[in-house]
Amino acid sequence: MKIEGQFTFDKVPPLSVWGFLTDANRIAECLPGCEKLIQTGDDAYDMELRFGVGPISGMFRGSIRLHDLRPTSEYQMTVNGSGAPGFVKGEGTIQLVPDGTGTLLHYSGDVTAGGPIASIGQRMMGGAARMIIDQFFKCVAGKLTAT
Amino acid sequence: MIAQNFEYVVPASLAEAVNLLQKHPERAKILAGGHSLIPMMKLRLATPEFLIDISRIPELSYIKEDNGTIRIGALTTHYLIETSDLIRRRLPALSDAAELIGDVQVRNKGTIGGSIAHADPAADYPAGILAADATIVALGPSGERQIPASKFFVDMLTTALDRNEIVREIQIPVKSGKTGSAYLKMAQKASGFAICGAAALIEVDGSGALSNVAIGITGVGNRAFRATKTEAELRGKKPSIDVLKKACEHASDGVTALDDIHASAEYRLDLARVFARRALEAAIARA
Repeated sequence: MKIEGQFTFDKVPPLSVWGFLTDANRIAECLPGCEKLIQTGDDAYDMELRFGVGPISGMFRGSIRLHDLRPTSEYQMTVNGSGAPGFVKGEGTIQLVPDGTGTLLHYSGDVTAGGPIASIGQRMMGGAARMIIDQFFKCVAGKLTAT
Repeated sequence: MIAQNFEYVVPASLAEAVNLLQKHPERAKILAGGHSLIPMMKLRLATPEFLIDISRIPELSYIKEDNGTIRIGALTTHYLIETSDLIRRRLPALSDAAELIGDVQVRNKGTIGGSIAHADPAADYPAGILAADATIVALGPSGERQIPASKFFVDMLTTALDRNEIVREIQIPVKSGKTGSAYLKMAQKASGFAICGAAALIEVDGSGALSNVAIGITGVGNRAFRATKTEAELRGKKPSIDVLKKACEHASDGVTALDDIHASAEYRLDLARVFARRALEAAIARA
């Protein structure tokens, strides 16, 4: 499944957005169900995350790896997660572009999912992914403008 | 699969149910008809540890009219709404929606309160509830709250209800002029869910022009929405085929549509335009 979208960070420069999005401890602040986030290497993390949409929720164990970093403008991300509701694998690109005094973030990726969420929830997955990503970036924006 | 173990509680009143929700934050779910929740539990997509069964609480199932407002109890089943003379006369869009939900077994058990609280993006009621500018009455720990439909459906499976609130009643203002309403949908053939569903409520004035137009669309986006551009373009106009067609071209402007194996986003956006027009035509024919 292809996901793609953008988010505008008002009055927050690319350097600040970059700093936040490449710092696991800060990212964890915006993952409310995150119960464990352990650095396993340069830009690689293992995590345990309770995560849900409406009545659907489950515990996912997985890993995130950031690679091909071009500081303040772009990086690639590989995500793997699995839990009772199913598994998720994704490859994505995050791009940051200055937008006036703020930053325009563009994300695009390919996500594969399997298990119950993918079969029964397939009709909702695209929308759910968008919702979760949006919530995440709204939280990030909130934390960045509070500082 | 079978559901994960859970404790099952039957409160005697809605207030008791609210207390129970408070006692078990994050781990309790309300059970009404169960036809959205139980299938998810059987797949272990939802794993509540406490099920609070409100389906036996008396006096939460009713359909009445009070001073131009239809009041529907949260536990009123889709079957009762489908067969209600009052709703068929005053707000047939809601009867249409109820009639098209799932199948007979689902309609016998499923409730309007449960359905709207679940907020499935492809559910049938939200289109009409939004178009009718309904008010949802919710009971929570600090008392009752009235939530306008426009604020109620927040996102996919997400409503404006706090985690300790339960829907008690749905209130729908009904106009007394020359009105008509209808709901039609393009159902996914296996599940019956709306790939696109449109509800239209209209009022026609003495000259035959549309004095009021409201269009609610479900199944297309993460949540149901109003086709406000189309409504604005139609208000005050006589609804000829050309006028309707032109206005409905904007029915899904600005909407990010769902994209899945049943329909592409592009197709859903187009269905919204087509079904908005069909719902309007059906509503006008009933006026």
